[in-house]
Amino acid sequence: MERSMNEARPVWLLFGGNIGPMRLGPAQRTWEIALRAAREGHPVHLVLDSWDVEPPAGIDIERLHSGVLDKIRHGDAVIVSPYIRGRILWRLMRRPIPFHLDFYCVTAAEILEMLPDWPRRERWIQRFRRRVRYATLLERAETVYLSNAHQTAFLGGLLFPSPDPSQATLAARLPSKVQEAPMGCREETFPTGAENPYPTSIHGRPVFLWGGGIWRWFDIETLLQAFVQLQAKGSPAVLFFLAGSNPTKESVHDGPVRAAIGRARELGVLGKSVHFNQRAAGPSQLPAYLEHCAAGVMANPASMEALCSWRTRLLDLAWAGRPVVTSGYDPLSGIFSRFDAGILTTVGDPGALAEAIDGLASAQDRRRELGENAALLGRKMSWSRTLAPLVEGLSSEGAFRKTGAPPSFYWLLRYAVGR
Amino acid sequence: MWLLYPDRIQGALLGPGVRILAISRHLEAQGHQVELVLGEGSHLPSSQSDARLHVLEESVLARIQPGDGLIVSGYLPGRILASLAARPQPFQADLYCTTATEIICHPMLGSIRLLRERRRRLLRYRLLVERAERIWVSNGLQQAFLGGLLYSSPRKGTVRTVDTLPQKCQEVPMGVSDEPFSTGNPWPYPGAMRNRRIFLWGGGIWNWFDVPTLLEAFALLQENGSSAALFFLGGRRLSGREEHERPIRAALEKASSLGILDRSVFFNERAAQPQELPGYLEHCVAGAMSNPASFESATSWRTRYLDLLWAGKPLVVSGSDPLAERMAASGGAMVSASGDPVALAGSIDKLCRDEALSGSLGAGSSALGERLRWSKVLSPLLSACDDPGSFSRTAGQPTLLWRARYKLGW
Repeated sequence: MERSMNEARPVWLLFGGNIGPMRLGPAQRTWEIALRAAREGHPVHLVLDSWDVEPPAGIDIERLHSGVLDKIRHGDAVIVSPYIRGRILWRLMRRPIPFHLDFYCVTAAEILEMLPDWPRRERWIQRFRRRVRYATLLERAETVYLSNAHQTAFLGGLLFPSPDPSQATLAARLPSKVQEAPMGCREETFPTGAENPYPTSIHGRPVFLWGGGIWRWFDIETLLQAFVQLQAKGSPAVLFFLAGSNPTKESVHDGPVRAAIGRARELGVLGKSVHFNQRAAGPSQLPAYLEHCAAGVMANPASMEALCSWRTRLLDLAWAGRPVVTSGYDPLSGIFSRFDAGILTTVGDPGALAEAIDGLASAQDRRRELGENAALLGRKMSWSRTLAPLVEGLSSEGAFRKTGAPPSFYWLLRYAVGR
Repeated sequence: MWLLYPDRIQGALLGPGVRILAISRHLEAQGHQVELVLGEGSHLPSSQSDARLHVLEESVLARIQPGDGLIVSGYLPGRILASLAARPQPFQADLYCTTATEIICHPMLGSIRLLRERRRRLLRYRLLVERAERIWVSNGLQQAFLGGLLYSSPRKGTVRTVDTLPQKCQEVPMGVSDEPFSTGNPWPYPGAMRNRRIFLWGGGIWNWFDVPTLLEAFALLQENGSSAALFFLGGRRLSGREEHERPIRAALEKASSLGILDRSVFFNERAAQPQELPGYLEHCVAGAMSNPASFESATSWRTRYLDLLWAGKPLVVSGSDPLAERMAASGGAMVSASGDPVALAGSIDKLCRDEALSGSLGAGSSALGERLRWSKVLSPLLSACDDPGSFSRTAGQPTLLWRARYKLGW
């Protein structure tokens, strides 16, 4: 059944995953997209694996299973996460349903950090599967949303070696399909006046906040070494890890937290200039930590993961009008630095990082200036602005018309076998 | 210091030639004896370099002593690259551009040839990434492209190679001349362009540009009585090679069919000499470019803009590319949507009418030019050459199978 011309196009968000009251990056993004689509008058069907939230008016939440595909009508807007279950993705790609693809991150680069622990054959299968999944989705999707140009370049490189000439053509034209729609910054006014939530032992000291999980792909060693130097020279600067334990349910992330605590102890900075949060901080407590910090900190190694990343925790700093000091490049830290809202130091150089932190710790005026620029940047990168291409696409008359070639059963076989 | 490049350097310097001589001159200034190994028939402009010149052939490799510094072009002939990589000599690779993106969809190559070219580049880049001590690229996007390219290789060590690629790659883009830009140059354009507001296409017309959008913009401007005129500096003929001549012919035909040829669009009737470039730059309003929404554009480094930065002239461009974005961020360029002649014509018209805008964009361009001087952009490379720890690490060597695969392009 066709919808009438004046009827707002129904929107299907096939994202999987879970949405609850505490939303980490991907869940927050899904939620923001759904809210904005509903606000534009679209009936929104948010398709998830599980949820424990009450959806606002205009949003229906449904469970992700292949029967959902039967409900999608010709001309409906469909946005798909590339990371939903392979079986459903396969069924979607075999049908003549036009869709847009929402890559909030390119996990192919992230898993590089996990793969060394796996057997060699499994490492290759994982990479191979990601390549075929991405290639087919990129071919099939009408529009692809990515966070930054580095992700486009990485995906283009991924397509390049294929013996299939159509994939080379796709690589050449990839930027014509891609729109940048990164994670954005919250729009509500930053709440102030909260009590200082940090341990009393560090009250009155300039706190540098590590505002998210400690994943294995960060360069924690450089950061800790910088604080060793700062402590040695009597700087009041103090580092606070907001997530003092693994904030996810995945045990793979326990190791880096334990290692960071152990290393801080070994270096003699634990409980002195480096502190790990002893309690779990919920989303409602985040503003207080942001309000009472001097700046955020980040430490990247020179890695492909960092190069293709979008460090969403920096967006919280922008929301709160706080600068960031980053060791080693990542695209969002690069933007902070260009906007004079942050300081970017050479990768793996604790001396340079310590100097930048000390400079900010002792210069309140400079900190304020950088913080004001960060707040300005936050407004430029608000969710409304970053998601604008995606939301405009939902009501564009010409959108959701084109489908690429569906994958063959041979593709399915190769994907399953990983060859 | 040995610099090995396959390029033939003669009087008129193209991009690679400019880069090679800039590297050579700066190394000499740091006290290095430079051995410049170039394509046959090269000769150095006497004022440009005191380097010793050699012809690029395999036998040169035997003359490189342990401990010598060695920088090689990423585009050495496969035979020489394989011989070099088989020796224990450490080297650094200079990829000033990733030509892979330029040939992805070359219109003049058949599908088998294209596949072979892609496979060869894959093999070449992989060898360089695995074997070179450092890799010099123009921008971070080229690193990400190389990472994606190598990602699904079944070879042992790929995960580490890809993830640590940014440790090995450093950005050394093409830079802006350190000489001050001289003004007071004579008017070099054809007489018919007197009193017109000139927009300069300051380089070759390659098949990966979107010239039709630019020409359509000038057709609109002509229709509206604008004084804007477009000048193709490279002229009506380049090297005689079909792949170079075909895009020029297509541009000429398109301009003719739109009724703008020699009215608001002009092609240089003679080969421009390097010493004439300042005149062309001084007497133009801005540079013009049109990029399609392509992968080549997205990972490119348009060296022709560096002349604009040198002269403090703005850029008007449809479609994006990394250097245009940097110019726009510095307030030196107007970037409009790819494939939109109306928007491009609007930008050009605005620039023609608004002297103040033109002046402020020129100042933005000049400021970025200061930051991209050769002496600044080459500093990581020069520091690496002076580092006593450089040129000391060699990785695995290519196998005979590599050579066979490269030859077959498979």
